[in-house]
Amino acid sequence: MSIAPITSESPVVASSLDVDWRDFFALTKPRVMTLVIFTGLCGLLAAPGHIDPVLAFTAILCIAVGAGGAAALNQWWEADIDAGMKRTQKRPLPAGRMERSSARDFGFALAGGSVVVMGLAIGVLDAAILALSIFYYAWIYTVWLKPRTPQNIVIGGGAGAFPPMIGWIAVTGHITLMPVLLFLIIFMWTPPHFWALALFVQTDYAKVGIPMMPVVAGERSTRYQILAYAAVLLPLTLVPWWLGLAGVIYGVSALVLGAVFLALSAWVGLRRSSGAEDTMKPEKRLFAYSILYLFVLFAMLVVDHVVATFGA
Amino acid sequence: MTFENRPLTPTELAAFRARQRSRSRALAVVLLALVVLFFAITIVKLRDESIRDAKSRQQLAAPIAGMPTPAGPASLQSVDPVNDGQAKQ
Repeated sequence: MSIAPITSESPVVASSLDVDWRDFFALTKPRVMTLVIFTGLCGLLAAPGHIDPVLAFTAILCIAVGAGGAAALNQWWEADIDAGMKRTQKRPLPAGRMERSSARDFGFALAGGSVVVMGLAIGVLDAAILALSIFYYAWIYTVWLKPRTPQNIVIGGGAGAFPPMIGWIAVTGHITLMPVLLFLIIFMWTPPHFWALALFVQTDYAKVGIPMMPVVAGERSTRYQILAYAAVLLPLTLVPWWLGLAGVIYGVSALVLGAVFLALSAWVGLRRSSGAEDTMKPEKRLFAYSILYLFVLFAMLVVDHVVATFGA
Repeated sequence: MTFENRPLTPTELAAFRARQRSRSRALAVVLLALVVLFFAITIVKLRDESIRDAKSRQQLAAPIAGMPTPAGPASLQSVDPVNDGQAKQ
């Protein structure tokens, strides 16, 4: 039996066999995943009750892998759009380093595997919410909302809001008010966070025909809406404290962090862009701060819970 | 990827093989990690299950307040949930 020599036109070269594992890793959007893992972990650590460390690790792993699968499916579906945007054109699919079918198969495998393991190891409710969050991101947001409406990120924000709820339910086994509040906090945080980004990359979105708010409704309307969402977010983050579901450490942190968020949003919301030469510094600052804001807010929720549990 | 139809040069072939090797290693690490994880999950689940079983047996064996209890085997009346459900000495 003779073996054909490997040529650059051989199917083996053009197929997924040539893909570096780092490209598969890049499909999972590791930077976005960091926030997903962190909020999921905070939900798990802040929940009342006890969970075995092995099961806690499994729950977080499933959240991360599920988010990675959803991200891979998102990139499979949006490969053409990504190719037209400077920010995304170096991703594995638009850069031509991987076949589309490989990304699709990888995404489905991660999504399916994470839901099955979550169901077997943690529980059916958690698995169902994880499956919903993957479906929400990969289909409701990516396929349905994103190319159709400027409200895409508002409704689609729900996809990223599930992890703390999943983490919480992994411990308690049922849905209560607190995980719903955590969901709502991320839900209300997403529009100002994402529109701040959309303001300084709006030419890219316009080029590929994605109806992001600044492209469709205009910059002024987007700025007002950023401010409006930030104004709602501040009192919303205080509700757990007000209802006695979180302590003073969380409450004061939420107040201070939210006040800064609101101030930066007001700066962005009330200013007018000075045209093409505008460096968009306040928008970039708000975007960077919004990430820090969510990290610190959720970290304080855990610190508050730990102090209440072990400090008393 | 646009290549002309020709055999790969030794450098290209070496790079191709290196990518394959690195991917195989990554896959091996992932599979090994999954084996360890599934084993650990199984152990935890078995332990939790045995504790639950012992507790439910203890509840079944507990006498109802105010009712006369027929003298039964001691092992049914006092079960240690931690010690694999065996009767306390």
